Amino acid sequence: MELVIDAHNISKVYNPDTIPVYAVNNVHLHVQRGEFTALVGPSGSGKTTLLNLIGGLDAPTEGRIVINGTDITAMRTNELIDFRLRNIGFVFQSFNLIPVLTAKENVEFIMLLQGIEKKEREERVRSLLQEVGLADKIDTMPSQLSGGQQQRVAVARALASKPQFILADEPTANLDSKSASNLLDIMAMLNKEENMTFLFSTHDSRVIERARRVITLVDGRISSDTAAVSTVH
Amino acid sequence: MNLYVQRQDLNALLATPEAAHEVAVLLENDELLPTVQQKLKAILPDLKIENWREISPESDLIASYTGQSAMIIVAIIVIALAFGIVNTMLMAVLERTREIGMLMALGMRKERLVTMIVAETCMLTLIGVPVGLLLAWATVEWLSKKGIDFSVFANDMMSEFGFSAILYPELPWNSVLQVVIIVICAALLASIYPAMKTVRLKPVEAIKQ
Repeated sequence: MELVIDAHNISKVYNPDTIPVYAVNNVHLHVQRGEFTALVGPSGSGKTTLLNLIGGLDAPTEGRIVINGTDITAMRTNELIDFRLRNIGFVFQSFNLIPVLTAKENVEFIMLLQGIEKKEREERVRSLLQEVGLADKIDTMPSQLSGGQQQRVAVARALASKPQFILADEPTANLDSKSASNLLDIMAMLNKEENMTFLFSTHDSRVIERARRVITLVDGRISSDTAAVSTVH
Repeated sequence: MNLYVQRQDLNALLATPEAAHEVAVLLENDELLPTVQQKLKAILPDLKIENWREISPESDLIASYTGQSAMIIVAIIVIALAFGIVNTMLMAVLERTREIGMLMALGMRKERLVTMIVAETCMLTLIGVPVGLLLAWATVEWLSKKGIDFSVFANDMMSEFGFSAILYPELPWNSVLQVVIIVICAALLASIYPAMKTVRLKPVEAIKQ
């Protein structure tokens, strides 16, 4: 097994000088390549903070995060931005597509930042949108797509940079059950066929059911870490 | 009070037939003044050749004051413009805080974000300047035919200084070029603050908005 995420005793403390609040408290987490892992827990348990720390969007107060052998906690801002661009795929809760760009351009944008040639970009955009079942929506603006479709574009965008893993913060929170199930089918398919590692936070019991590993956070600490029975594999 | 009489009547009264005390030469524009005055002096060395600045220093003073106050007005307009651009671009940045946060999260470097904001300002300026020039040209063109009538406000005062009460403006293209350059520079300077504001955003906080 290949270790993709290695978080060593990480903590995130707010107001350390006055009344310290531990959003994440001494968490130790290993994620291997090809995992399909759900991060669950009540609101305020630190799921989003933990994902932000692992994704290099926020710096831990203590501890070290090693992604695919590289310590990201020691990186400078631009180094970290470049690292995110090449190694981490993000899917946010509220879709977060660029509203003035079409589905194709939203996916292509990441590759543009990576400096990939036009021909390769176009081919990859087509195949990615095909994979997420949106081949016919290639030139559609986000405002004309349903929530589920927008989130599928976001998944395609996350995959576009060929990341080491995809972090998804409550990806189904704003979706109806059919769209949520459809999105999960796609994520599970990518996990199975392309061995793409997924780490996602969720409240949704239907999502939790499909995860192969479920990590429960309570008050910023891991309270349980189980290998749930997956219906996918 | 001005009194107008026929030259021959006046000559008859003064008993100086076919004579004139003074001949006024009206030039097409003010820039020709020194050369024409020089030439006339050469041709007519016995006569006193004076330009309007020498005859009426007070009019010269008014004209130079007008030039200075025009500069002050331009400066005020440029400052207002700069604030307008800062405001517009700041709104453009604040409205898109989440989008910018997302761009940073996905891997857009800060330099690129700054370039994006400056480029947007440039586009705004490059669209705004020709549109503004076109409107200015159309307005001046119309007024140059119709004239701006000041007779209601200052008929006597203007005629006293030898100005017509109806002014026919024209666009001084040299000054237009200067103003265009100043406007573009002001726009670029004005984009720095919103760009810096963007760079200081933290992706985690920006995405939450």
